[in-house]
Amino acid sequence: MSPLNRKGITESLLIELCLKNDRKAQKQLFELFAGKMVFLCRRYARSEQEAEDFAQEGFIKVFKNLQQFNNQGSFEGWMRRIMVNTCLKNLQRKYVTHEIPGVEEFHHTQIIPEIFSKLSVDELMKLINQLPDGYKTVFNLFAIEGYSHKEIGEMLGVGESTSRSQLAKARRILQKKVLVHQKIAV
Amino acid sequence: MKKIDKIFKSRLKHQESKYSQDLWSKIESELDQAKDSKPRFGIFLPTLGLILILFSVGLYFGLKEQTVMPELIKTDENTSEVLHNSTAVTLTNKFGEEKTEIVETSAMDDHEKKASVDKLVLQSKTQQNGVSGQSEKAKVYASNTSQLHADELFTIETHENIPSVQDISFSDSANNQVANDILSRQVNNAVASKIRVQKIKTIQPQYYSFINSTKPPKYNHNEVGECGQKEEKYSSFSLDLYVSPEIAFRTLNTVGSSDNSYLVQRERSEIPALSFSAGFRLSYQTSGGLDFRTGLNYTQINENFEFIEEISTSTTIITETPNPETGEIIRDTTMETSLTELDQGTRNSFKSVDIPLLVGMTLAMNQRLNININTGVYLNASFSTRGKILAPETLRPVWVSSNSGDLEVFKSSLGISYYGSIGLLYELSPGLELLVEPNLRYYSQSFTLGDFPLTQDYLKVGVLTGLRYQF
Repeated sequence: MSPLNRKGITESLLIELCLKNDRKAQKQLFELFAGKMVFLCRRYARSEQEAEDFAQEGFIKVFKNLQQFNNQGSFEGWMRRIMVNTCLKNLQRKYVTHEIPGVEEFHHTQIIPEIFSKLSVDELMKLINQLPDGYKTVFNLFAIEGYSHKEIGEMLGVGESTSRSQLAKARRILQKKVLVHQKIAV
Repeated sequence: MKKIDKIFKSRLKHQESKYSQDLWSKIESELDQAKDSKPRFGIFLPTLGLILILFSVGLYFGLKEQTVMPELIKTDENTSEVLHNSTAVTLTNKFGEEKTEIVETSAMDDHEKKASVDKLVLQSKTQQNGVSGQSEKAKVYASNTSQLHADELFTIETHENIPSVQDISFSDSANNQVANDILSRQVNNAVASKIRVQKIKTIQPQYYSFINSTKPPKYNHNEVGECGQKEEKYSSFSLDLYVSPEIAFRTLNTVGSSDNSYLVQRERSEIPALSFSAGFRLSYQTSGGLDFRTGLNYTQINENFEFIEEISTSTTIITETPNPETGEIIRDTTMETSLTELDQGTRNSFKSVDIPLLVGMTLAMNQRLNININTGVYLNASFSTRGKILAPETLRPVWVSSNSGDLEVFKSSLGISYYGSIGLLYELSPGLELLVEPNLRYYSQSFTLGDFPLTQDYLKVGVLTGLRYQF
């Protein structure tokens, strides 16, 4: 244990208080991360309500398993991992992934990535949520959360090659969707 | 990673979203449910203590029942055809309980007598008064103790010329170690030349060895001396001198609605250090094999207080410079602030003197090694504290002790604490044993005063190491 410096309530102090089941500290920790975690869940869930349900379950897990956080890495990273796993577990229980036929027939069109930059957060979210569940999950895990294909394979119980192909398909669908979006906008 | 991925990541990863107002209340109610269903840790230690006490009592009475000799010995009815006389035999078990039975005795010729002396041989001792052929004491030697098991027919042969044998004891001839604690008996009227007794219960050899030594024979036996007189080798008293390195596990709890952040600050700033106990114990062993111990015990629980205080020092520098043109003094004021770290660390110690009141028992594993079980209480005679803690209001280090001027946080008496131990005794030399006794001690009271915002409870685990001297 390191010598104590007299500072305000830091994240680590907040965690220690939560470990003592201090309800005020738990609420503070929740308020600190709730916005980010609900948004994370929205990228996996099919509705706003479902996203909140996932976040609720995730936070319960966080508080119950807080003693497992060993202060070695980022607390937010640890919490995100729990939230992602909670979302995946619920999705696997609720839905069966269906691939959309015909996606393979999509012809490559050169899309300038900057087009995406012009889209708002809500528009980007809408694009992601239009993806089939399987593609959306792999795209979220790889592109946004930063998991490797090997890790994704283990998390979803599929092969690395499946993860790669689903990611490629997700990207193509997103490019297609953004073109449609652009045409509508024009 | 493709550029498209980067765009999504940078725009979405750390984005926040609104959520419904009742989300926290839902989480809170689930946490409450989980908390209510958890068993309370506070029940664990008293339960453990109770189990230890019940185990000791149960073990004691269990072994007592197993070693009641009258139930193990009866007359051999199969030999009735050669018996022609009756003798009253009083069988005495190790707990002093007596049972008188009428046994039939047989008159046998010399050949039969010699043949029967295969396991146990009675050796009569002439009294010191020189009356030939008479003895009140006799000792029976077993030729081989390993044969003393399982439905074995023990034959006791008395000397034909001894009109009255009042005390017979058995001994292991190989080690010359008296084993009469289990086989002692009195023959009130040994007019018979032969008595046959037989065990009626089957006892496994290793278990026999165990129960044979529930009370260490050497602690309470009477050995027949060369002149036929009883010689007490050891008394029932023994003295332990010991020291015990220990680790004290502390539990802090808030009182009422006190702030948890103070508790966390205290836990962060106080770190357990090696503690110890030392003292002596005087023991008395009853004829039933129960040990009662008391003495004086000194305990010092140590903790390191670690705190580095940041002290801000402001220095105002006033520079006065004369204006070369007007000669007017120009005053320039600057303020410099520096932070220095002050190490406030110290060693905290909680010192107590206690009177142990213990009950225990000693179980012999073999001739040199015994197991020692103890349980009981320590009565606190005095308690003092010296060290620093963070003050609840200011979170700054303050001295705490019974000295005037220091913050009064801790009690001056700790009342009762509970003690339990299971140890080993190894005989170094006759009457002197090495004692190694892993032990735990639970303090029933918080160390802090009633109006302090935290309770401070301790459970201490140690290995008592010392010497036991048998008087």
